[in-house]
Amino acid sequence: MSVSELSRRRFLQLGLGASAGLLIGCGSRELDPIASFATTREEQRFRNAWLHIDTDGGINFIVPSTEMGQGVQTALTMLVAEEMDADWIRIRTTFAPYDPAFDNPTYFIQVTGGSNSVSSYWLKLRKLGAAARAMLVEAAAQRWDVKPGDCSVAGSVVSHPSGRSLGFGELAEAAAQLTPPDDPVLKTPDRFRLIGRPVPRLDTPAKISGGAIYGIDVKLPGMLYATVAQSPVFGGKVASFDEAAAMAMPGVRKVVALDDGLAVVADSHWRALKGLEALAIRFDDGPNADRSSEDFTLMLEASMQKMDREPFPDAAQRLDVEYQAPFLAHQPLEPMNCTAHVTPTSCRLWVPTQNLHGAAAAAAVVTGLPRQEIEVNVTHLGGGFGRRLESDFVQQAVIIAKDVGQPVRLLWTREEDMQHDFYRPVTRARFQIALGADGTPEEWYTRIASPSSFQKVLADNFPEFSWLPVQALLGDVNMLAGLGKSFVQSNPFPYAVGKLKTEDEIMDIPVPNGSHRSVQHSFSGFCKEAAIDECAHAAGQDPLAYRRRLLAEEPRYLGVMDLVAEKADWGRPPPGRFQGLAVHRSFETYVAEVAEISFTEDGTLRIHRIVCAVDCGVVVNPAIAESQVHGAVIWGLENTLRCEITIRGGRVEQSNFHDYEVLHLHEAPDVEVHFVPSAEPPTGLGEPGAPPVAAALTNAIFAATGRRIRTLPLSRHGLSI
Amino acid sequence: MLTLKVNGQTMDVDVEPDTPLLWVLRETIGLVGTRFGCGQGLCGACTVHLDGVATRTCVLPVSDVGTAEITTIEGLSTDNSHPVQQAWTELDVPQCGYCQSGQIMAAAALLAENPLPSDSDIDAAMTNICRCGTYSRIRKGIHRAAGLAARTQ
Repeated sequence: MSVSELSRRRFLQLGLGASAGLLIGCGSRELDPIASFATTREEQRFRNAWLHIDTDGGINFIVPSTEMGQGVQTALTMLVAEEMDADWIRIRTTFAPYDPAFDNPTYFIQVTGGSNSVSSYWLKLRKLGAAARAMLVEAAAQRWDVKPGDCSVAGSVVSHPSGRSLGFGELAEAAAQLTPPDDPVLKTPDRFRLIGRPVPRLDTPAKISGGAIYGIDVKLPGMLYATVAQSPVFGGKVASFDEAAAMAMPGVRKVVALDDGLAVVADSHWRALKGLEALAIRFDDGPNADRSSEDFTLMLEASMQKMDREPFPDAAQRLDVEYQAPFLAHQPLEPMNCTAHVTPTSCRLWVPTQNLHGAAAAAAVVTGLPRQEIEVNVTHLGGGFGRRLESDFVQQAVIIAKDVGQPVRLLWTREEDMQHDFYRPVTRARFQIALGADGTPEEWYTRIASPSSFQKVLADNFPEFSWLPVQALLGDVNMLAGLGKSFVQSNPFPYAVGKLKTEDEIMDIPVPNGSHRSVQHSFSGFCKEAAIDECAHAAGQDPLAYRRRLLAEEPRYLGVMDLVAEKADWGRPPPGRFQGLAVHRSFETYVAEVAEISFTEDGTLRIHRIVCAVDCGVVVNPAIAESQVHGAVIWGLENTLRCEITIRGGRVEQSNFHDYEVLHLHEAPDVEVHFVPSAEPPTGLGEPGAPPVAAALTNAIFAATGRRIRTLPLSRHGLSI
Repeated sequence: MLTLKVNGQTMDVDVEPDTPLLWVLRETIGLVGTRFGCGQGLCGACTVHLDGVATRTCVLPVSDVGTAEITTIEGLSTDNSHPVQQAWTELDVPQCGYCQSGQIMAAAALLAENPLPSDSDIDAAMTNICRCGTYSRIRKGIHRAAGLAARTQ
């Protein structure tokens, strides 16, 4: 993809309208009818074109999700190409610009998150491909005066037993005159040629040549460069600054005021940074200047005291335990950035974002333009992990570009990124569990407390409804993900316990929080799976056998546990090694993991391997799927071992990768990934590998040492690898 | 005015001498395959070769480059044919890909110095950060590239 392809208008002129052929597409909803026509007329009327078959046989597919490494560019294209029987190497892809036609069919806005791209497009994109195939076959059958059912397709060529054959390109114009089928027939899995195979990623060549275009690589004629400093204390404001000193620096063009900071605009990024330094900003720290992580823990502990003190006086055995996990940062390697060009009548953005809808909403608020008039072009994302669901940096870029009146690229420093993230919230849970004489939990009470971003997400993405007190009315429905059984929770607490009771409290903690790869599951997967391990040990039972008994009615849980037990040789670790098990369902996918560890003589933790068993339904691309689980395990591991954002003086203490120590290559253990064979529709995969890691590891540490770790990270307990 | 040798070409650049080489490559010369990640030499996204040695350019003032030959990802090969790039293709190493220019340059420098690195050689040399967690494929990729390079020699 080149920069010239990034503009929506150019995309329509060059990407689709440049040559004749068949355009085929539909609206964003699952049941929207498929439509088509020839590209030689009325291109502008047909903005919701997803697929273009050129008269030379080239195929361009518009990828509706954003590519942040999870492989959707390849996986979604496979769905279309599979049903088309298209020649894989003739397919080109373009990322969809902001347009309601490309809204996510599950979320009804144009956003990529929640591990749902493949699952929510599974039928829709296959139908699109099947409709294209049916029309091309029909065109060939009419030309030859034969029955469509007698024709076959392979490699973008329609053939007839008589020996005649025509390529898709030769048929495209004729097919464009036909009416698309309402409900095209999909392949049965035994006929899949792509789905289920490790098809090479479409983005690899550009990503190893340096040629892939990320947000930071966008360059427009006359573009200026901006960088920002925001109040390090959350809620602080600018108190004073030396504008004249900044403006005297070479290349500095402007100082722009932001809500909680300042931007410097210059003719190069380095000059903008030097200008920012010369600006000598002083901040008024505001009301949060004395807040700290210790305060927040005291608040969370106080919340836990709201449970009954002695709920089960007559139980054979009782557990009353509390778990806590800290704030975590995302830190995708590409720092936050957005390129914007704003005029009184237009607003054009080039931005690596998971959330085109949110980007447009933010730009609409600043410019006053209608949301549908905002042009949003998406680039490759240098990581997302949920950070790029937020549009704070987009709003800043639009404010700056509006002030400057010419194209501007805003780029944050790593330090701004680290200190102005939307963190996985600090969370604490308390379990009160009564075990019966046979060790089965007869009562299982859970209380959970954390800050929430529910109201903020609503206000950011739907400013017109920000007055609705949704959080006050409903609470945060996601806080109990995996822990409760409310009707809104798609991943309920799975264990067959006698009585389940849950409570939750949203805490008023002045630190921004948001979705962080696997969201609430990163905590619930830890505390639930460690607590059930405590129950198994209290009951004197093997943790696998104990779980199997409480999940006897859950075949997919049993499936992943049995597979991981087989692959990890559960119960028979090599001498000196110890195992821990955890199983968790998130984003409708079931994952069981076994950590195999030992300790050296000096007490250093050695993680020999993490074995994973995954049931995500049909695996569309096993090579990409494996890499996603792999990455999620590494993510979960660094967050278990040592990553932690701490607050002192109302500000984040960490500032870069020297004090927010993510995992490096030499520390990455062997990760084995096994998939349960399945014909069920695909479910999430980008995130579900992360939640079981922490408990698998802490349960293994308990097996090795008898020490139960209930607060993360492990570095707080003197444990390190 | 400074003179740089980049990917075999000599070019003059007019920038402040304290400007890090990274920004000169990206903004002045227009080679954007070398990327910015941390600004403190911690993550390695900005790795290029200076006279064949893997070097982090976000903290390297352009005035310190001198006469060293600079090779960026764009100069490693014109057709992804370097053994590291071939191995990366075979194994589909990148996920988001943002760190991969730096990873590839670090791996290529390692192999140039040590054609058959052990796992512990790789552990010591490959200190670049990947947030997607592609580490095991990077390790496999380096071993594979070592094999490919040995075969073509």
